Formats: sequence, structure tokens, C-alpha cells
Amino acid sequence: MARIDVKALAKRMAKFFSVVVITYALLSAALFALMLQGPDRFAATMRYVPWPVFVVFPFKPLWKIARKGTHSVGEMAPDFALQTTDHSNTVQLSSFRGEKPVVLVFGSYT
Amino acid sequence: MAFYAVYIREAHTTDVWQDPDNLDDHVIFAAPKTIEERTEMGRLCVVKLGIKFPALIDNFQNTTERDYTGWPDRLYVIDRDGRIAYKAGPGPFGFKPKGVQDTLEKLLPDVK
Repeated sequence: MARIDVKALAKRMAKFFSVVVITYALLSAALFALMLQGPDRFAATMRYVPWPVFVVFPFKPLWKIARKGTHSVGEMAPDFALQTTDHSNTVQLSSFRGEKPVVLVFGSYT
Repeated sequence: MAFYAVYIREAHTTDVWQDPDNLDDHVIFAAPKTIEERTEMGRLCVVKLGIKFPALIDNFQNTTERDYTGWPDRLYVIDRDGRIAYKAGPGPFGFKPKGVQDTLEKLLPDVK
């Protein structure tokens, strides 16, 4: 009956898991680097990435860091002057200062 | 208080990154190529999603979206002094209206 070389088996297992961990870390880093590229490049690349990637890799925490943004709570909100969808009005955020709070909901249709 | 939707660049268009869920919902659109197309898409967005408050169109340089890191969606509350009182996490995971509600209750204690 053949004897199992436990030491050699453990060594091979350790090597295998090391390769898996390093590959996982490198791919996660690549995903994070892609998130930092901005919406255009990120979206254009993600179209080729299979959806299971969202489950297998730590997408949510990486996304939270990558899209943290430059402004924090307590800082002055960047001013803007944007037209309404019906072009009936231009709204300047700073015009509300001293008057009332403003809720901004950023988004799109798709 | 004032509510504004800020219509920004699309997240999942057919020519960039189609979301399979949108296929099921028949939300299938190519990315607007001009500010006129973006405005038209913004109008459609307001109607289809039943948005009841005014909607603003970000410019084609995406200035406001960049300033606020608003893509693909995000919630903010700006207080009376013009400071950021609430900044949700980046969407879609961070899109939590409860944070807006809690902040408004602090800013407007008389309005429940």
C-alpha cells in the first residue's frame, strides 16, 4: 500500500493556495485601478467582464473607496448652475444659501 | 426644502455597458451623443421614472457629476449655509434615502 507523503502534500497545497491568494489580490487591485479611471473607461471595460465578478471579488468595498469623491460632509458644496429638463429655468445651487436645505438626487435612466 | 434630480451621464447604455436587468425591463438605449440628446433622455427619464420634483441636466462635460462624484447615482443634502450635510455612499450600493430623511429631520426639526 502506497504511503502518502504528508509533508510533500502540505507543501503543494500551500503553494497552490499561495498562487490563488496572489492571483485574487492582483485581480482585485486591477479592478480597483479600473474603478479609479472614471465612469467612461470603467463602464467601457466592464462590458467585457462577466457579472459573477461582482460576487467573487470585493466589488462593494472597493467601489466605496474608489468613488469616495473629493468633498466631505461639512465642506461647502460645489456650486453649479444647471438648466431644468424643460429649459424653463436655470437653477443655481448657491441661490438657496441662507434660505433652505437642498436635496440632490443624482442619477440616470439606465 | 428644495428637491432636485440631477440627470447625469447614463450608466448602462447599449453601446457602453448594457445591464441584463435593463433588458428584462426593456430599458434599452444608446448613450446620448449631444447635449440635445442628453436633454431628451433626461425628459424621458423624468417621465418613465415618475420623478415628481424638478430635474436638472448636467452639461456634456459632466462638470457637476465630477464635482459630486455622482455617477452612477448618489444622494446629497446641502444645508442652509451651502455646506454638505449628507453625502450618501456611491450608488447603486450607497443609494439610501433613509440617510436623507434622517438629515432633513435634523435640519428641519419642525417638519416631520
